[in-house]
This record gives sequence, C-alpha cells and structure tokens, in this order.
Amino acid sequence: MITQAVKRLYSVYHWFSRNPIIEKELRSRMRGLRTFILITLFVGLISISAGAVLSLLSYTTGQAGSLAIWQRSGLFVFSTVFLIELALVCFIAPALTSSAISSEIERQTFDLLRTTLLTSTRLVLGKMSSALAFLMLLMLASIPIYAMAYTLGGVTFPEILIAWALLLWSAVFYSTLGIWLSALLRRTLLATVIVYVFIALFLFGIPILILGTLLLFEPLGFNFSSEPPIAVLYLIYLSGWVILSSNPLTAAIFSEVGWLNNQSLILLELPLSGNSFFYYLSPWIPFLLLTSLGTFFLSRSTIRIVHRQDQ
Amino acid sequence: MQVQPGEIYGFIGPNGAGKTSTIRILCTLLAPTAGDAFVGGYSVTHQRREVRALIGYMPDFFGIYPDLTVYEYLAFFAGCYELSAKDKEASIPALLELVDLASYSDLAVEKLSRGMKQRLSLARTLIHNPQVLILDEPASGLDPRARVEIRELLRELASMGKTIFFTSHILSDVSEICTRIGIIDQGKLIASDTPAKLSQLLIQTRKIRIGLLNGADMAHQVLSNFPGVSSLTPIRDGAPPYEYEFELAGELEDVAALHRQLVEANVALISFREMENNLEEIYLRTTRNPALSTDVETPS
Repeated sequence: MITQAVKRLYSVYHWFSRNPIIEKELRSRMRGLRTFILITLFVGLISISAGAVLSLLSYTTGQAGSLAIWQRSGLFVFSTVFLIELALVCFIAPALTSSAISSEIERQTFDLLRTTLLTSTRLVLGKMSSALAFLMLLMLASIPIYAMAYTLGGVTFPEILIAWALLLWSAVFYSTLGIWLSALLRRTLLATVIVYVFIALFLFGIPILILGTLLLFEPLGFNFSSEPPIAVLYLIYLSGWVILSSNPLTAAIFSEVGWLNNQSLILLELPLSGNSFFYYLSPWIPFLLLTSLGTFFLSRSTIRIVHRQDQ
Repeated sequence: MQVQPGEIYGFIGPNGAGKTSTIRILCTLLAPTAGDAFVGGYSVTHQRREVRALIGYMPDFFGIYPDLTVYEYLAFFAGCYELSAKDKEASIPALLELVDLASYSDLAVEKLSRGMKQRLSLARTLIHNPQVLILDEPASGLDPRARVEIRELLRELASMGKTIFFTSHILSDVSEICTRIGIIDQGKLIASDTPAKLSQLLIQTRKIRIGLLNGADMAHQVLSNFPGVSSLTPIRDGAPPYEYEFELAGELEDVAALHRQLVEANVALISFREMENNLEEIYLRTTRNPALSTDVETPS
C-alpha cells in the first residue's frame, strides 16, 4: 500500500520534473531584476503594514507591557498581513497566467509547440505549475511576518494553517481562471482586463453588496432582531453562508469571527429562535471545496480549449 | 504530389497560391478540407503524433523565447520532443556546431542577428533528428551571405539522408539545390518534376544567342526567313561584335540547319549558343498561363 503510494507520488514528481514548460517558465521568470523587485515590493508592503499596525497599537493603547495587548497586537498583525497578502495573491496570480497561452500565440511559438510531442495537458499544467511555484515563493517569503504574529500571541497554529490554505487555494483558483481566459480569448490584454474586472467584482463586490444590503434594509425598518419566520431566517442564513463562502476575503473574515464567537474552526452555529440553531460549516471549508471544484472544471476546460485549437 | 526520401523538393508559386497552407497541412497544423496527406506513411489527420515525431518544421517566422539562451532554447524543444537528458547533451552541441552557433550557446536568443536566428530555427527543427524537414521560406529576409549559408546547410542535410521540402520566393536558390520542383498556383499543383524535365516540357522553343563580327544585315535576313524563328531581339547592335537573341521552335536538326545557313551566307559568326531556360522562365510561363501548365502537369 505504502509502496504503491510512494510509486504513484514518484510518477507524479517524474511527470512534473520532465515537463519542459515548467523549467522554461521558471528560468524565464527568475531571470533579470523583475522578479527580485516584485518579491521585494511584496515582502516590503506586508512588512510595512505589519509595522504600521504594531506602531499604531502601541501608540493608542500605551500599555506595551500588558499580555492582552500583546495578544491583540498579534491578532491584528496576523489579520492585516493575511488580508493584504490575500489581495496581493489574488491580483498577482492571474497576472502570471492571463498571458500563458495567448502570449504563445502572440509570440508565434504556439505553432512550434503544436508540432512537437507536447500534449495540451502538459502545456496547460506546466504553465499553471510554474505560476503556482512562483506564488508559493512569494508566500514563503512572508513566513517571517506570520512568525512574528504567532510569537506575539493571540493567533493559534490552526488559524495560520487555515489562512495559508485560503491563500493557496485562492492562488490556484485565480491562476486557473487567468489561464482559462488566456486560452479562451487568445489575446493577453483582453484576458488580463477581464480577469481583473472579475476579481475586483468578486473580491470586493460581494463584501460591498452585503454591506450595502444591510445599510439599505435598516432605514426601511427591516429589523433582524424582530424575529422573522424561522424559514425566512433559515433561508437568509443559508444564502448568506453560500455568498460568504464563495469569496476568500469574506470566508476568512467570517471564519475568524466564528472562531472568536464559537471557539470552533469547523462547525459553527447561529441562533434561529428559542432553542433552535442554524448549524453551518465554517466558511473556509466550503470555500476550499468550491474553489477546488472551480479549479478542476476550469483547468479541464482550458485543456480542452487548447486541445481543440490543435485540431 | 509525392516527395521521395532523400529528395530536396522546392515548392514555388505566387503569393496566396497555397504554399503555406500545404505546409501547415503536412505539419498537422491545419486540417485538410478534403482528402488526406501522408508523411512517412502516416496520415496527417489521423496519426498526428507519429507525423510530428517524423518531421521538423521551420515556419517563415522565428518563434523565439527572448529570455532564453541559445542552448536553453534548444534544450527546451528537446524536452518538448521527450528527449532524454543524455540525448540532449549529445545532440545540442553537435547541432550548434552544424549551424555554426557553437560559440553563441550562452548568448540570449534575442541578441542574435536575423541570419543566426534562422540558423537556430533550423537547429531546432533538427533537435529530434527528424527524417523529413518542412521549411517555409527558410531564406526569406536574409542577406546574400546568410542565404548562401542556409543553402549550404540544406545541401549538407540532404547529404545526411534527410528529405527536405521547402518553399521559397528566391528561384535561384530553388533551382540551385532542388532535385525536384513543384509549382502551385491558385491552390492547384500545376507542375512537378526535375528542373530539366520541367524546362523540356514547359518551354517548347529554344532560346538561341549569336555573336557576329560583321554581316548583321545578312544575318537578320537569314533569321527572318528561317521557319520557326521568332522574338528576334538585338542585344548589342551599335558596333561590332553584334549580338542577337531569338527563339526557335524546332529540333536539334533545325538548329544545325540554321547554323549552316548563317555560315553559308558569309556571316562572320563568333558564337552560336543555345541558352538554358532557367527556373524563372519556367515559373513565369506556368503561372502566367495556367492552361498551358495544366496540360503539361507531370505527376511523379
């Protein structure tokens, strides 16, 4: 059983290590000042944000010695760093892949690749893997900042792991979205514009929509505490849960809120009426499931599009 | 149309005639609207992977990754053809040597001159040691020296037993190195044979040039009266030696009879030679007069 698993793992490693696209992409990407500058800016921005949060907290509280303050500082630093990194990853990931296929067409190298023995699966997965490898490098570069937040306290190790899973899954999903648009539209500029509009709407549009809905309903006299019928409340909670779970930003925030309120990272509850509760999975779990599904279907569709262009 | 193993087959025709489309079909990049084509016995529509393993394709554009060095560029394509690390290490230096780029292996591809890029492209097409090379305008846009270099390379590759199928607008290159030539016009193959046979079949008059020291008027009179002589053109007629060119529709016996008549008319002949009909002439005639060329199509 274990031997089989090791053999399978080795064959996957072998498949990836023999993919010329990965080697070429990484070689091209790591060459020159561009990457060095990008990593420096990425880590610099996160470090400055963490430093600013710490300075602001110590300035406003003035109780540098209190354990509670240190813990709160840790949580603030962690939250700030995570949210900034999430936004950066969500915007960098598609930038790395929205030209993946279209640039080959624009550079007139696509036909050359098509006449080789390279399959569309190897081409697409090679492009995706190299983009992800680079994103992983960015995420690894930010580890010391997370370590600092962890040392300050207020953040548990599972929280950090979940935050990293959200980052990684977001990176994978948005990379796949970028490469899918690149293959579909065959033009880098168009693919980049569309992917950014989509991400901006998706990442910030949903939180703004939720906030807007709440602000709109309040003056109209809709009071959530006036106990509407249980079915209506159930539907509101359910749709809210689905919407929150589809966005990395809201999934992260409400998972953390759930953790602070319920002390659970898996199953959370909201009161419906009397003794009945609305039980739901912490939003990070459905987010991972949804993005896994999205990634699977988008990558399969990309491979098909590239394969069709080769017919 | 058939191209035999070891041949250098030149494929010529006006712009838009269908040369690149033919090449793209042969390279499995374009599906034929009807029928099929075979490379090494493999169908380009049904056995594309086998065809791809057998051919080396060089398009009329470079298709370069500017960030890579010359060596890395070839190593990348070697990977695309699933060559082992050992084969890569053996073939890349040998290829760079063949295309005379060995001293540039660490140079970024974007820094190469146009001629060098063309030679690198040729090395790329050879990376997996294909049996058939399909080259679209390999000498296009090159200076005379680079053109000669590419021509020599093609000759060398043919001597190594490769089958070369290429298109070109430079007819002198085609006539110089091709064992057979195909002429395409408006999507139709209108002639396909060796340059000598094409010339024989397509041009039914002989072009003759004579030189004389005196007796220009007499020569003119003999030529005008000789049956089958046409297109009499003075090449040099101001002062001796005079030179005339004309076409003669006839056999070798007619050529000899004309020569005899000129001598008997006391024309001081200093030269009398039949000009070779070059590829340019064949090309112009066939593409100018499709009816003629269709009649003389020479399936091989």
